[in-house]
Amino acid sequence: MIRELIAIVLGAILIENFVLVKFLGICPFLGVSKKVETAIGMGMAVTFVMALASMITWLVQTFILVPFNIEYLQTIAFILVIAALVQFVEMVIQKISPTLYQALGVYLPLITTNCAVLGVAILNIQKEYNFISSLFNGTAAALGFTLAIVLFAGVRERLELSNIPKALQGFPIALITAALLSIAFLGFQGLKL
Amino acid sequence: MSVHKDILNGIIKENPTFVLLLGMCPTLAVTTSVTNGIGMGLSATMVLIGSNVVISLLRKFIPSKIRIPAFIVIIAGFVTLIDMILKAYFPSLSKSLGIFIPLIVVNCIILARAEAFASKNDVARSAADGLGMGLGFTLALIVIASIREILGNGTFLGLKLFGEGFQPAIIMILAPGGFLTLGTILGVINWWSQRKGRSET
Amino acid sequence: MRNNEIVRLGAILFAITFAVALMLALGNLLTEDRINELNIKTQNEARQEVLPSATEFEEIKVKGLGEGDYKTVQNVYVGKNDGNAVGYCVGVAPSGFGGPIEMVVGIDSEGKVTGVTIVNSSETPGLGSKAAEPKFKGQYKGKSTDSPLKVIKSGTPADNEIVAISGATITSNAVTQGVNSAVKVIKEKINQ
Repeated sequence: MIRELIAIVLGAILIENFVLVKFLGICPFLGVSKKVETAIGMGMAVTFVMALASMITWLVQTFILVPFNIEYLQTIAFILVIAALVQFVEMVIQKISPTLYQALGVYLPLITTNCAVLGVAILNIQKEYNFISSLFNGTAAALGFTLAIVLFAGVRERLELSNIPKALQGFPIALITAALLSIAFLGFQGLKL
Repeated sequence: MSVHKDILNGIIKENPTFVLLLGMCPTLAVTTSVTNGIGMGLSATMVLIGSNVVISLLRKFIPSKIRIPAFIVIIAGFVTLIDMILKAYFPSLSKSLGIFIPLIVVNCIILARAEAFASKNDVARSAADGLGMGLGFTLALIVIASIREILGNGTFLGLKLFGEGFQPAIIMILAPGGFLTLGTILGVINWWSQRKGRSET
Repeated sequence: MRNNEIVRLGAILFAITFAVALMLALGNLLTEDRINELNIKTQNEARQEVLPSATEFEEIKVKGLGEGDYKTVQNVYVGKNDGNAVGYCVGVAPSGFGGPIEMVVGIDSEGKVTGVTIVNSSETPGLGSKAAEPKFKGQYKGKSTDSPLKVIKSGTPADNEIVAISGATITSNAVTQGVNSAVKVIKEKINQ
């Protein structure tokens, strides 16, 4: 059991990194990665939501959709859960810790349309994970997302200072940087778990 | 503004992928083959037209406070419908697009058009906007997928282009190839528009 | 007053969701049978492909599928020709790179692999998806089941070795593991 969980965690962070290998969550990856600080904030917010979403969507699938034989409503049910969850998390954080809210506030609404969240919920079901594995997979995938976006922001901060051909400034050079990061992550494919 | 201008606008001037930089996940993920690119592009187009029309019809009925969840529900409905149709009539395409079909729900292009266009314009123009944006997205996917499939697999639409001696650059259909291709295309577009801008002044 | 407003908003959102759900129920009704038929058809065709000597197939109930060593095994069919069993088809779904790879493995009564075919997978197009091409899956044909099959990256394969698809080692390993579990089920549960 523990061995299996370790395999899931390492697999989700390194081998099947959501952003760099599976192409999930590219929009925030490109959008909010200009500074390391904001990247960390986004990563934390996403991790929080993805862990909660993994648990709740698993419960919804197992105790509502499957017993009533309405699995075809999966996409709708999951996206509603995620949208409600994001809203709820926003309210709770605002009440409990205004400082944290100030740090994360701007990113929270963006998370609803982060395909990594819906993606991990659907993948958990597709891979037939149980409740615990789903939670671990969701959290680890989000940590993988955080790792990728923070590394990427680190590189982009330096890019700001370097002399880049005019045509490549902005998004083009960012994407080429992402390609190099992604090549580095290909190296993890050989890991045997 | 006329309806056909709305269509052209989405294809060229405000191309969702190359100009607005929206919907990057499917753009990079499914462009490993041209067939997939076309399949994803047309599926997204159907969803865009459907959701734009319905949202435009209901725009006076949906209170602005709950518009985002309402839009998402409508979009998710169309996506699920497309998913069912693909499963029933195009099983192999449905299999190769896999999880990226349900993920059309969170494709920012669709929500962005619902919010920015369909909720403010009449049905005909919203449908035209959906069609234009959808075709612009499809076109972008085809361009990226062609480059990746030809270089990375030596094929186009599954047909072998080169002799046995050709060693395809597998990296192009792996994840890095996606970033690299899109980055290069955007760079070329920038270079071209900068050059054009300079010669005009 | 404020409560009324919340109730009104809730009611509208509920009405929209309800209408959409109704539409989907209808869509499901119209496509469900066709999807199921299609699945059964592809399964049958897959069995015919991997065990061509059989003319009819019959499912056998085997205990313990989906658990422990047989975690990825989904079903076992016996293939018959004129009423005589000529081999078995095992449906397995090992985890590949993009989720489970649904495949069927044919094993004849002498214990040789007669063929492997991929029914359903979401492996990377152009890489993992090459597992469905004859060049890769043809390697399994005629392999003996005396020792578990292994994957090698390059070179000339020995009797119990399979050459991986370049760039898709995870998929190659998964398919090979699927074949090994299929063999295991037949050896331990059927031919005891």
